[in-house]
Amino acid sequence: MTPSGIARRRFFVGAAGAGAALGLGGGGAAAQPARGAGGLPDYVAWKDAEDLIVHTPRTIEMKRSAFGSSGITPDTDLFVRNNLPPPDARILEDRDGWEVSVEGVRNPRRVALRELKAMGVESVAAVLQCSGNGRAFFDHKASGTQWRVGAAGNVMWSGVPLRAVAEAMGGVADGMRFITARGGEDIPQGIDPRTVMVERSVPIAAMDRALLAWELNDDPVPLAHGGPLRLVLPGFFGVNNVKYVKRLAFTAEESDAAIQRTGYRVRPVGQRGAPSQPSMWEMTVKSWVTQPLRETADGPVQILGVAFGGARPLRRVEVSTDGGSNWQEARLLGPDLGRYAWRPFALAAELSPGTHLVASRATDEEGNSQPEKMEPNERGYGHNGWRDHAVEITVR
Amino acid sequence: KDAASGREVFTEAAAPACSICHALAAAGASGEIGPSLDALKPSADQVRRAVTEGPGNMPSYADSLSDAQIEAVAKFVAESAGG
Repeated sequence: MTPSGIARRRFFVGAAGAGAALGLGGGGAAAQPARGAGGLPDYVAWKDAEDLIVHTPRTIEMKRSAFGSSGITPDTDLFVRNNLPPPDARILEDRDGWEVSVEGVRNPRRVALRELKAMGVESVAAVLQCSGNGRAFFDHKASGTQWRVGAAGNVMWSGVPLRAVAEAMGGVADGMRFITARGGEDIPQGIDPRTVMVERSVPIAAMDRALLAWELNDDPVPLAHGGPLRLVLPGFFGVNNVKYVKRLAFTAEESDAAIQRTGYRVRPVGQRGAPSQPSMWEMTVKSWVTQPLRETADGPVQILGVAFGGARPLRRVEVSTDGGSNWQEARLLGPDLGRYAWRPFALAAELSPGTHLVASRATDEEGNSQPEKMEPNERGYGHNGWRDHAVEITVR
Repeated sequence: KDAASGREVFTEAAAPACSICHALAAAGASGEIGPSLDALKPSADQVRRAVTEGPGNMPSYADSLSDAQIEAVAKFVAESAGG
């Protein structure tokens, strides 16, 4: 998938980035990560700057115009959202030596990546999407990155099934109800780690599809995407797919880290986050048009987009060229990559001169369709309303 | 006066202090956990919202800071970061 030239280029860029990161660590005043060509921070300097929007050094969105119709998002275009600064790139120097502490099993212990690779391997195509993707479409100005559609991608992961890891360690201990994963980022002195650390819990039922992944789109997982080892939970929002996973525990209770207790909780506008509110776990059905986006000549046009069912398989996607008055079922393109992947879609249309509001509306296997309007929530999570995702096209 | 007390909230009164995680030259802060406020240049309203809501892995200070303290730190950050 990746030409060897690009792989080599990435290696050299990565090596240069590691040196720059070392320089940064020493100087307290140098809080801004160095930026390379195209305005990209060093740790993602290998990405395609033309296809990306840099909101901050750790929140980088893919442009809507960059989505293609082949189904897989290249890692050079894949969005980045890190809640904490990524660890030093030196952790990639000995990928196989990366250790994760496995707890809440009958025989808990630390296990190295090289041993995980021998326990089993599976691959999965899955949509990776930030909880706040679409936040910019809400009117209530929720704080956080103003993502539109590009905090999402459809990628291939390879790794060991979590159930194989648990089996190798005697099975899950009695009474455990959650999978709890902690990232390997450094937490500064002077702060209770639970305040800012990335530790997320999901229901243990996700065990049937969870992977500890070391490959992304046929390459070792880059630092920006959680390499050397990332917990992958197909169908779950991005934040649960913990990067640089250092502790993987089966637990009776959810993590008491703030990011789990009060962060990523869905609540009405104006309310504080609390453990009683729904957590940003499984994704819902969603789609958006990717082409055309602004102007096109009159006559025949292929309206393109992507659609996915979230945690459930996709059943169909419809397209409207008149703002939702009339809908036509679109054709799903390419192979079905499984229930957690997205499908590009196409609808052949004839557009007359004038303006057209082009919308898409996906439906999952259980019959759930995207709503026209998404009810606002305090943090601007999970927007899948079709009207806000529609594009206005001018036909000459 | 507001700016002075806003700086105090930023570096001391807030727990954890804003300066542990954020860079802001006017406060002599070089935290690298959260985004640099010198680069982000947030408006007072954006600071107020972030401090109250707690976006991402940032804690909410709605229960630990008074409205006056939140107002002061919002003004201080917006004015000193030039947002």
